[in-house]
Amino acid sequence: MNREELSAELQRIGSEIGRVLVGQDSIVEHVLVGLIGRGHVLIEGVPGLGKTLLVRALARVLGLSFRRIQFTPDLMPSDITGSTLYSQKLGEFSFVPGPVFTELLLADEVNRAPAKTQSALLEAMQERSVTTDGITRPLPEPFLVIATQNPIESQGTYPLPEAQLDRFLLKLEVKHPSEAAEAQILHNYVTGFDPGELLHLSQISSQESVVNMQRALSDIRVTTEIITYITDIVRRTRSHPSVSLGASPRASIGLLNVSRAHALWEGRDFVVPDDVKSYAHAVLRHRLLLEPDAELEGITADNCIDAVLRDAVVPKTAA
Amino acid sequence: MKLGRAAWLILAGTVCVSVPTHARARTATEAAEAPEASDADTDTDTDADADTADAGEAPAASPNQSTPDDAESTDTSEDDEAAEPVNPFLNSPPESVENSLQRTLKSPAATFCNKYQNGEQPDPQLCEWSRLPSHQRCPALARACAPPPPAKSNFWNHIGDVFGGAAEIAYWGILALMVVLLAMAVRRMLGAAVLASDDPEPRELPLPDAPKGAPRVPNDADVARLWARAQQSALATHFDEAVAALQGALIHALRVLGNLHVSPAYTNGDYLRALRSEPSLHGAARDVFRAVEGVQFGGSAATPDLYQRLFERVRPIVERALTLGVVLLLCWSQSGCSAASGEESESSARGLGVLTQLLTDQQTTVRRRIRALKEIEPQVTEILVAGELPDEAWSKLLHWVSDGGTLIVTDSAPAIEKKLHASYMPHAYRGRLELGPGFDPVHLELSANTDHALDFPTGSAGNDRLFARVEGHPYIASRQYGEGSVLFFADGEFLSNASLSIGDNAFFAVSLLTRPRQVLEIVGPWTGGGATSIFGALRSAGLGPLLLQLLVLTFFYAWCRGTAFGTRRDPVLVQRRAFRDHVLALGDCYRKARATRFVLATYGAWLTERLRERLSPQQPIGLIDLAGRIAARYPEPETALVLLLTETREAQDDLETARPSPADLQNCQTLETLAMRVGGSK
Repeated sequence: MNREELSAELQRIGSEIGRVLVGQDSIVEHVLVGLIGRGHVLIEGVPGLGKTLLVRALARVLGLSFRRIQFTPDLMPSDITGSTLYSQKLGEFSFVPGPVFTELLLADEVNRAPAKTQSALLEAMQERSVTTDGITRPLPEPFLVIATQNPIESQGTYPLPEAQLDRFLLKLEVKHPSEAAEAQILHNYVTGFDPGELLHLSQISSQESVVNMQRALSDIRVTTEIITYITDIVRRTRSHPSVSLGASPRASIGLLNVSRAHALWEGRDFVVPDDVKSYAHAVLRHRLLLEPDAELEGITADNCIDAVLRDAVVPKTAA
Repeated sequence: MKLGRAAWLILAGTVCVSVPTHARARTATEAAEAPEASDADTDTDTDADADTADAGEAPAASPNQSTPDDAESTDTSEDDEAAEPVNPFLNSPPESVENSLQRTLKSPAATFCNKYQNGEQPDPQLCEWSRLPSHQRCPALARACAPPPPAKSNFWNHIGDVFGGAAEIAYWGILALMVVLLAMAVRRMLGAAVLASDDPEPRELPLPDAPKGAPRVPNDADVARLWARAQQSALATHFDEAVAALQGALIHALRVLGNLHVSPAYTNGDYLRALRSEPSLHGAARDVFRAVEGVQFGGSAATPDLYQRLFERVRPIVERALTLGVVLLLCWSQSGCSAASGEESESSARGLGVLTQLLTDQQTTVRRRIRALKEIEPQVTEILVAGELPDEAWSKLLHWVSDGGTLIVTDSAPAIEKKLHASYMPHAYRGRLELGPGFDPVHLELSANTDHALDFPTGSAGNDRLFARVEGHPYIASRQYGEGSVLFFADGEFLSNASLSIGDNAFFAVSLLTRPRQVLEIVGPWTGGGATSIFGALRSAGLGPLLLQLLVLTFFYAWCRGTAFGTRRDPVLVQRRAFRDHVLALGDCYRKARATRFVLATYGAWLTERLRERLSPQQPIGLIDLAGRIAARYPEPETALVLLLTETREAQDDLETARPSPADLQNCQTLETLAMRVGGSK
């Protein structure tokens, strides 16, 4: 498949998911771009905004295997990775894969589990393999983790450390849909839409096609000016007065990959500054550690990124 | 010819008599060009000069010098009886004045003398001067009576009038629109400020330090220049530069049209998102941006076809922006012209430029007095009043005259009439003036184009002197006042440029007014009119309308461009915050996290300790005893108090497992109320 066909397929995937997830087109686009960029996505939003529905619809439309883990305080690492059990029937120990052995994994309320359980998942995300009893088992390709967390309840939670947050390529914030979109959601329910049944959704893509899309990123052209622009943005986060710890080089790489993926989404074979700028928030917001004073003043990471983007000069600008 | 020159030299050397200066000038300047005519002209002079030379110390009148008998009047006998006054016309060298006059009139600055060489509209005033029966030096005066120019210029004048009127209407319309838009913007800003004040959490984001990234290269923001640069680059086959310039022209054209706010931090995607409400512009901009980005970032080649395609897409938008700019410029220039108003120019027919130059050439300094008349410098010996003055100024001038100064008056003034008994009366006359008595053997060819004459009753004849008459009425005269004198001109026009270019008027005026190495000051409404404030100065300079327009345009520009006038700086950060701010911020964080249980555990424990301190200061007591003591003092059920205190204690143990509940906050409030009842924390 050439670039135009891949782009058209991506657009069809987005449209198909948009049939059930109304009013969240931007989130759908970001998740797909994260998937193509070989990253994982952390979604933050209050309950009831369709996070689970998004992942289920995504799995169906992409034709990928799908598992869901509800993170709780008593969840153990082996509940994610799997464990070696003795089979009385066979008379031997055999490995029973955990839910992480899937192509699309929904880690619901990931901050409800203790740190050691989170680490098991985050290691799998980074290494794309699971090691148990000294044996390393690769995860399938593609492998996308979509984790969710609730921003309003912090009691009884285990916030993800900044170092582990860095493993997520994108952090998305799901907002409430618009009035028109909400009315459309109700209209869909009135006409018989059942979120538990997604049989009416068509499979647009396949596992092989998704892998092709990921490999096509290497053909997306990136000029020196774009690299300078990315570097400039990331470095500015480190000197911002409200930020105590800026974005890491991994963030630069992530921003570059996401920009390429977005260029593919747009049907281009080259990256433009708008690809970088439009994904800067999603890539950087969970990688910035704010100063305590700034946090007390209610300054958010998005505010800091806004300021950084205001000062970073776009390459070859006409202004 | 030789005889005439010799006679003139004798006359100039002996200072016995003056001859008509214009005749001398013609002799000097035209002799070389027309020797025969010159000789013929000077024959008469030669006779007269010869006669004068023969007469030796008893000068006689030449044939063209009329004797005083020609102008017999009663004043003559009176002058004869008075002391012999100095004849001013014998002190000035006529040739010098004539040369100076010729030079001045030929200079480009003497516009009145050359104004009509291009066939412009006639001027009745200049025409009147040209009809006077005297020697005319300015060709423009004669042409001022020419019939109106052909009708072809009327068409352009008509077009100009139409455009001028339309431009003025458009200007005021745009100005009104600007004011309305500005008012709306201010209203929006005030509304936003009110909303912001209602917001309990107004947050201002500190901005980072100065940019440390790639240096910004300032680009051109002028649409016309970008447009021209695109075409020049295309002609030079630099199509990559050409398409980039086209994109710049498009962006800035949209900025001029008010569709975009341009910033170096904005991407093409930002511009496209800003244009969503304009589908037609959005489509054109998207096509252009995509193509240019392909060249700039995608490695596509910029071809002539691509340039031509983009050119056609961008052209309508750029032309619209340029048209708007031209309309604004027209309105601006038109209004600027209409706002301009000025006095008569020094070089115009009514100006005093010729007089100033002639006196300067005679080593008399002439200057306009700007300073007030409070203190007049000693070197100022003459003051010419040109225009109206307040009574206070007249008093100061008369006081100065009484100390020995010479005041030159060309218009009526109550103070003058009262003190010197001289006034002006209507008397229209166009023609030759008569020289006053007592200037024999001088004959000067004086002319006037006047509507007034002097009413000059002769009280003390010895103190008066009559220099010129018009149909028997005094026209130029002086009167002694104290140590000084006042020189009256019946009409200020006599000293004007047009007047001095005719006949011997210039020689006459220079002879009367020359004071070598002294100063003649011209006073008028501008004298002492220095503004006391900056607003007065602006008003006096006529800059009010211009500055008002600039101010409105500045506001409009600021409204359109936001903070383009300077770099935004961070507000000064408060280094230390009040403890109360920290507590409020912490409480806000708890509220967002819904950490009600944590609040009950910490704040409730602290309140419980305060209750213990108040109700059992000597020894520590348990929760049940504490509840009993509270119930004994206040009408609260002891069971409920025990439950409250127990719940508070348990909150410290089950922080991680218990769910947040509104009851936690209610328990906190109850405990707080009890603690306040027993005396609080103090």
